[in-house]
Amino acid sequence: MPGTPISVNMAMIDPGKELSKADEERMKIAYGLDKPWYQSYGVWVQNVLQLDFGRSISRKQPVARLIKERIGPTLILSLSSLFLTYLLAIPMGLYSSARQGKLDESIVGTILYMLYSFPSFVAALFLQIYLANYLGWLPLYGMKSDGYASMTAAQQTWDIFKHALMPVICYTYGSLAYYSRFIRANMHEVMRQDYIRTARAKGLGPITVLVKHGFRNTFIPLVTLIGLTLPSLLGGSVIIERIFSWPGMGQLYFESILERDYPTIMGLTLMFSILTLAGQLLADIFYAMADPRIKIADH
Amino acid sequence: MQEKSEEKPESTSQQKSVKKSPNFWAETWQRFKGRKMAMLALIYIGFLGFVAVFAPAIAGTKPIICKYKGHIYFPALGYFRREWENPIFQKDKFRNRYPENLQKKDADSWAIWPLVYQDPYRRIYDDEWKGLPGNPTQETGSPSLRNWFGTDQRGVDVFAQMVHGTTIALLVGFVSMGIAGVIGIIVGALAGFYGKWIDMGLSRLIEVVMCIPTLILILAIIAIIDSPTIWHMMAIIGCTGWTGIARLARAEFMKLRESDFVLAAKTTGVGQFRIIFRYILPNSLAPVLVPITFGIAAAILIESGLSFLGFGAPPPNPSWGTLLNLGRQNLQMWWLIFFPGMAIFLAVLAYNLIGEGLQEASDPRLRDA
Repeated sequence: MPGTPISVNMAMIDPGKELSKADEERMKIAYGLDKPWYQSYGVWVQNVLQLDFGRSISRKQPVARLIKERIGPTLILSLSSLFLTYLLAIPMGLYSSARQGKLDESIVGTILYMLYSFPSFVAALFLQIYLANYLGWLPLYGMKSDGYASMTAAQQTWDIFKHALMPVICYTYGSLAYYSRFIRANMHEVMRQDYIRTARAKGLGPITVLVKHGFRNTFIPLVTLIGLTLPSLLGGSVIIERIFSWPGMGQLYFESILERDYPTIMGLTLMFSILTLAGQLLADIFYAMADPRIKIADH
Repeated sequence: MQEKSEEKPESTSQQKSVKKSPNFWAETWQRFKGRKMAMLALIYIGFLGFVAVFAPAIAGTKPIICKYKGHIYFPALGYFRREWENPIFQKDKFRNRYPENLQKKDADSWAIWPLVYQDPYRRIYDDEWKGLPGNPTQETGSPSLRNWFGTDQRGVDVFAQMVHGTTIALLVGFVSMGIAGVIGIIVGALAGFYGKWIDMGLSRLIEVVMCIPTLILILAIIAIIDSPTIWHMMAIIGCTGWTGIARLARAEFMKLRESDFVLAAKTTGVGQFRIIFRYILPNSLAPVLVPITFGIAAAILIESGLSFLGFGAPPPNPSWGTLLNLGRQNLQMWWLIFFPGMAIFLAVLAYNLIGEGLQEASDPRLRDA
């Protein structure tokens, strides 16, 4: 990525338009690009501590406003994918542990294992070719149709749902495979414990044993997975949002790298890290809620 | 996928002599061999390695060996490095058209050609090879007998690009995880062996690096490099991907630090450096290989993802991800997506299978199962 934010910017507007030396110097000082990196980083940290993320060089807007516009669409995708993963992975994991060793279980297990290794961007392209291009069921990319503003609220929701379907599938299937394999492996261990034998000996039904005695004990490590899934979801957003032209933070991140828009890159990197940390905090809180042995310091 | 693997009984001749306690590596290998899927995956990776090394002999337009004006040359080596192609061909103005020029400029010349006469960098023109029509371009380049995997927009053969792209895919995995392995093992070893405040500091460092989504971090670093090459990318993937390895190495070192053989070494006055690298490290290596193998799979995914976004190896270099990017620009040309996509998938799947096989083979809890 050669060039500075200023030269890239000018070249994009008009390749013939050269910036005079004096103008370039003036702009460099205005954007704080004249200082060495450690000084400008110090300035950036100081400003961030005062909640000032700076102004985007290429978009001439405050970075905070840009992020505010883009964070919604990104969260729509990542949160609904996270929700869907938990919703589907738990029954799938329980099903495979109940049918352990049977033919259907090993077929489902193999398919899940393959899905887990399947790159999401390849899947995204396959889906685009099949669902959008060949069958024409879903829109190829974007978040809203052209006539979005004139639709009723129900139509608007349906419109966004249709646009979001393919990206959400791409986000979900990988972690779905991982989660259900994780549940199956943990259940495999739990079901050999003594208390499971006790529960069976008491004459409890197989479903009660599986869900109430078995699954409850695998639920705790499952909760902590949120903390690990969120970084990969957010990182993946750069690729998936770009393929589907989804107006989220990942797309903005991609564009600001091409434009060498340092304030936006810094702001977004910080935002991605904060979201990851928030996910980990959430996992810790859930952990304390799910496991009575852990108490949040109250002596 | 196989949960149970039965140990084969030792042959009787070995039982007579005093049995040396099997070393950890041999034991792990023994149990790894029992896993069919993992072995299959290992063979597949070996096959990919073969393809990567012999890429110019599989698909190319330069002869593997040729006799020209009384000397033997190996022009195909030029695919690895430009300089390895003998300058005589440049001086005689071959312009990469070997078949006709060899005939025209030296009637006595002979050559052994690659299996497939297709070039990963350029289109083949009409009658370049006797009776072979030129490559189709744009949407007409669907897979055919001549172009097994089709051609891209410019008419460059996809099969040739994929064969030559194997090198990058494999190299990225090995080099980046080599770097990550060294960093991860050193950080993990120091944290696990010394404990106390060193452990505190290094563990916090690991947590900080883990907090930033990998792809975001890599893109942020690429943004500040002036002209990123494939080597930059490998270094960056390596410098960001070591956390899992460090955590596992730390746990292994913490465990082994307390073991008897380390105590014995300490009492005989072996230095700390030697204890870390000669005593503990070899014994902790097999479990540490597990995150490294999974890391190779992740590195291949990241590399192809970056190439797909256009941040990968510079354009003329063939890469699976770059082909996908070409396919994205025209979804009608499904072969630009299907074949490279499957290649990435299979490579990642193979590494994941090997990683899982290693995990189960080196896990002492499953030893007597």
